[in-house]
Amino acid sequence: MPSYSDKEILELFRKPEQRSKAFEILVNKYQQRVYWIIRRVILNHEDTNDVMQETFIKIWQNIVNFKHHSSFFAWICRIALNESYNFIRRKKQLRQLPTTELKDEMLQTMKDDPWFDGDQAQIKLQKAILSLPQKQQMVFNMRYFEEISYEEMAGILNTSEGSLKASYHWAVKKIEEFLKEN
Amino acid sequence: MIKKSKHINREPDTSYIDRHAKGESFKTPENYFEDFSSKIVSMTEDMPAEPPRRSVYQKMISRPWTMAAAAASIVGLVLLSVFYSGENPQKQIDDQQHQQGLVHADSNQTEDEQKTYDSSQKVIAKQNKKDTNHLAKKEPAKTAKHKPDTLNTGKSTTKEPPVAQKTEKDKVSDDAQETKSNNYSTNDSDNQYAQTYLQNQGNNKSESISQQGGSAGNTTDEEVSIASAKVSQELKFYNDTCISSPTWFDLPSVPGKYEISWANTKDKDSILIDEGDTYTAFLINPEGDTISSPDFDVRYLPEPEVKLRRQYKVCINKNLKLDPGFYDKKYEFQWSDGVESPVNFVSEISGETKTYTLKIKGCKTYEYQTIVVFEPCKLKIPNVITPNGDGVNDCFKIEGLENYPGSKLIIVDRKGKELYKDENYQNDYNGNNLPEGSYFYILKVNDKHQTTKKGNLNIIY
Repeated sequence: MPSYSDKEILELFRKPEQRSKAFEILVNKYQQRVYWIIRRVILNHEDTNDVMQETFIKIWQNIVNFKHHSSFFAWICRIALNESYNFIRRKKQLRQLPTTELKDEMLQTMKDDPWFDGDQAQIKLQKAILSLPQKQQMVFNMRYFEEISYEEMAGILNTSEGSLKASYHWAVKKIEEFLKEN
Repeated sequence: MIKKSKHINREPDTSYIDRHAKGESFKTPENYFEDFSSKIVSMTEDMPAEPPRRSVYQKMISRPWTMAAAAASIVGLVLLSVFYSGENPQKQIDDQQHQQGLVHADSNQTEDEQKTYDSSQKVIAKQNKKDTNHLAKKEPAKTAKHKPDTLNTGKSTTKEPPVAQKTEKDKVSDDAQETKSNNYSTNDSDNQYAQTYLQNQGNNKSESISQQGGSAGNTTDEEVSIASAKVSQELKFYNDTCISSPTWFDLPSVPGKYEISWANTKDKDSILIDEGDTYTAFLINPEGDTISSPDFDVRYLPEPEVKLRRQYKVCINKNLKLDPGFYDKKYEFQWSDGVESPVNFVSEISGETKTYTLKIKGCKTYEYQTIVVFEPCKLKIPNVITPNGDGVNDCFKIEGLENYPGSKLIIVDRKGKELYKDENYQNDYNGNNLPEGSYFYILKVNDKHQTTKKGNLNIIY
């Protein structure tokens, strides 16, 4: 499939009969990046797949409301992150688990996930990431694993680049400490 | 995992973490992305991707210039036809000699137009509303005599003969009328298009008809006039009806040998109207000619869906947006404090409880009441933080700031050097590893007056 620019995709979306086609192009263009952003938060594949569906349905339903205040990818990412953390919040409410137990459970599901084959060191790293506050967690995942630029991240999280750099710095420090301690 | 240099972008050194993150531990099933994209595309196929689209007509209503453009193009067409027929007076006469064929062609054309240019027709009908109302009120034959000005209003048919030429042609027209066949008389009607055409044939039309109509054999012109006048009379009552829920509209009764039906619908006797629009009924005489199309406008203004909460709480000094989530321009909005737009911004400088009522006028007037509690929200700004990770005072947490999203925080040192800045402070500043000591904060509260608060901030570990 030839690559389309965001502008072309949005242009296609304006015509109702082209909408399905435009959506297919959009899904193919962004699904991998979106998947990894969600997976870093959710950790296991099965739940990630659910959140993926919710995310793309949200995109489909709201694309007419997309205003060009931020980049298209930033908008998509924001939906993906919101859906991911909503998923975790829902899970927490449903099971009435305290945060620490929820994190343990998430790690356990990750270990049991057939689509995870990390060793102890990697499990430990995930544990360290889970111990971070939500914002630092998001920044660390996006910067360290997905290598998203601060500029792009600023658009996604609606925060200044300076503050993101500080959050990242702090996250790296905390993770390092966590790894050394345990 | 790429090892990031310490010097580029001042990225922190992650070499220790890198040792834990060798290789990708998360996998996806084979062909996951291929399967996902086809699945999600088929899932969304039947899902609405946007709120219901407005019709062309509604769009034109909300953009007055398009109406002006439509009117201008119609006037242009009329002028063009005046000019065109002015050059070919002979054509007029020729046309009239082929009266029957032409009238048929004319009515065919109007039918085609109704199908093909439905939306523009509606606009034309709307513009002519007043004129057609007059038409409907009077007997068509008389209308032809006394209301020549209706000719000027936009008929989009280019076959329409010119107004300016009319008086000069009266004689010719009368002559032509004498030659018309009996069948012609059955075509007399108050059908707008046919009628407009016929009016142009001459002012003496009704007289010629009354002279000749009796010999028609089938339906006489008088009978047709009476029948269509009756229909017009009855349908006139429907005009400018305002309904707030879908309503059945019945067809008026007509003399036995006529048939009457709604335009553009299969429903025989009554139609369910659930959309504001112009509606038309056709009267059909025993010869099968469509001879009557009085039309009338129905406004459909259902009860608005208003999303106002019963109660709001807001800090004094701060604007609250009372937003009904409903903005249709066809309705009138009136707030109890005098605001006449759907959205109302309210604020108070002292703590009190106020009631706001929104009246929305459609066919009926709907009232919505909401209570707003204005309460003082004081900010509690600490003067010390201890970011040592013990969970107490780790962050510079300003109580009450959550009421003012978008507030700006700047931390400076004793020399005034800026150390931290956040345009939308989220109570998450933790000292960023600054050495112990005394610093200053500048907080721009995003309230109505953008109050700035300054103070001392001590960092102790």
